Amino acid sequence: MYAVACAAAATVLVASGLAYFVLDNLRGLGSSHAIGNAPKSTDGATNILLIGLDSRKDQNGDPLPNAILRQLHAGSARGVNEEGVGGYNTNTLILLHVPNDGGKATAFSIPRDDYVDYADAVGPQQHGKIKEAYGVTKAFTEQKLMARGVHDKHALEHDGREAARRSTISTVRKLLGVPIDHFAEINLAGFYDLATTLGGVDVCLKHPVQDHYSGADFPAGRQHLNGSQALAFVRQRHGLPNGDLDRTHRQQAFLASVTHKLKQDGIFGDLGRMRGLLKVARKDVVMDAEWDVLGFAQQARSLTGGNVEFHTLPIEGFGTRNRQSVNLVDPDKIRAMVHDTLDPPKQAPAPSASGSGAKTTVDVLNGGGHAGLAAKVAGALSQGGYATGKVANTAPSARTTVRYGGQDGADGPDGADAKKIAKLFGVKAVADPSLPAGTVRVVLGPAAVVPSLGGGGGSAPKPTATLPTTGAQGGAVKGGGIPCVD
Amino acid sequence: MLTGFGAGALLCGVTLAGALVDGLGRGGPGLVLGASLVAGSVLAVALVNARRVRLVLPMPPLAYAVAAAVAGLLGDTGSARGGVGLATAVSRWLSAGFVAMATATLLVAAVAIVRATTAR
Repeated sequence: MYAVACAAAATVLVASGLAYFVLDNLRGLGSSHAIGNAPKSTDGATNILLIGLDSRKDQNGDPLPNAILRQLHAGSARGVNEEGVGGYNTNTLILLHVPNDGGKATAFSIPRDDYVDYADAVGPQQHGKIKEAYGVTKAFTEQKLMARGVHDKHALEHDGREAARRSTISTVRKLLGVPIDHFAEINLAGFYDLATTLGGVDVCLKHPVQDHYSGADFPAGRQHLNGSQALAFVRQRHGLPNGDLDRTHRQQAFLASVTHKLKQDGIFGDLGRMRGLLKVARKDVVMDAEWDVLGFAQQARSLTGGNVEFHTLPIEGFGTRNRQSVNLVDPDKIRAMVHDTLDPPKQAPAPSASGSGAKTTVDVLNGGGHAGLAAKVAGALSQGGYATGKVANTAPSARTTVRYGGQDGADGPDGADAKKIAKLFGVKAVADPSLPAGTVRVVLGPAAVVPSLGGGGGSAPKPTATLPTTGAQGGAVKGGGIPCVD
Repeated sequence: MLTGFGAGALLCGVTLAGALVDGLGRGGPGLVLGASLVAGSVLAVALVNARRVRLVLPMPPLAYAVAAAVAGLLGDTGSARGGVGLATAVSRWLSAGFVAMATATLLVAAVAIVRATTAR
């Protein structure tokens, strides 16, 4: 009896020591004070900004080892140091909203090329792609510090990154109009290490892909990827129908797979396996100092149960700013959408006005072979007030065609919209009974270009509070399993 | 001098009193529970019959395990829902008592050695 009591006491003491060690490590993860004193969520929910940094450097500003860079298809240490390969772009920006009641978590991916006003940015550049707020601010902060006589490389890196995080967080907060309670920043090696520590992740592709830039070479269907392959999976953007926007879906699918794996393997209840994740977190992740991660894990039952839905924020079209291709966005519309998704209005929103009372849906199919053109055309038409329908590649087409559905002929609302669209491409609209009413289908030929609708139709869409479910942004990627993506 | 059972009852009573204070304070296992555990352990090992002193050795961790569950269920039930919630809550409760448990066990061992030596 006494021996049993001693063994039980020793077990409790050892378990307690292990828990103490793990929690002490978790508390040590938060090292950044960039979150600042801005207002926090007041309803008990938690908003977390996930920042994926495309940097080939570690937290001290030293390039990652060559062996790791080779694994990541991310250049060489010499390229990183001398040619500035990689830079400091925040290629992944995801706002994760976790409700207090354990209900469904919602994530919003912000396309990296969205052209926005920066907030808290240091230096003269106050507008640009959202992914560049980090790097621009870091560079100017370092210049300022050097002018003040600071030359220690690690101090410059640390202070530059803190200012960069502050700017990125403030810029996202301003764009989305919601408080940001915590953030976590992970670099390229972090994605690799995370997937490796989990023993790889399962993903599902709709089509086979091959891309030498990222190293992606995968068949269609569900498959198991190791760390290096997982990184290629989330980085590929060449050869995808919607380029960057499809990459965003890849990142969402990766996160859904990770949470699914955590749920399947029960890692959250396994302190031993948690240590492996802690090691990755200490090496590759920066979080804010105020974040009680274990308290969050208790709150985030929805995440560990896979009950999470990923959305991609809408863009209004494409444009050129400072000789760069950018995504054009409507911040008011984005704020309304985010607000209404997180806190749905009690009454259904009024239908958007457009001639007949309902917007014409435009399918854009790329038969011309120019990668990404369908998404660009769909974006331009969306800017002109048309609802975006199916956007995809199709069989090669010698010329651009515009067809429309409905029974009311060329003088009806569908025919009228189709005529306007056809005029943009210099072709004639043709009725197609096989298409549903209210739908116009554009098949792009090799000579097609992105049409300009700059204010011509007077039918620019008013902000609505519905996230797009079709088009280049696609619908929601749902957690709780292995979602199939392009 | 207390019997082994009496020492156990004393240690459990003092520790549970601390657990009630922490639990009713809506915070789960905390400082009061830890201090009560250490105080109850020292009292128990000091007052137990010298020939029964070794019986007190395994008591602090066991008393803490019971008292932490009481304090947690009284003051921290909201976070212990579901498998993940319960696992993280138990980790937190165990972690919160590690320093007190280790201190109490070391003190009990030290006093037990002194008393056993001087009693001969």
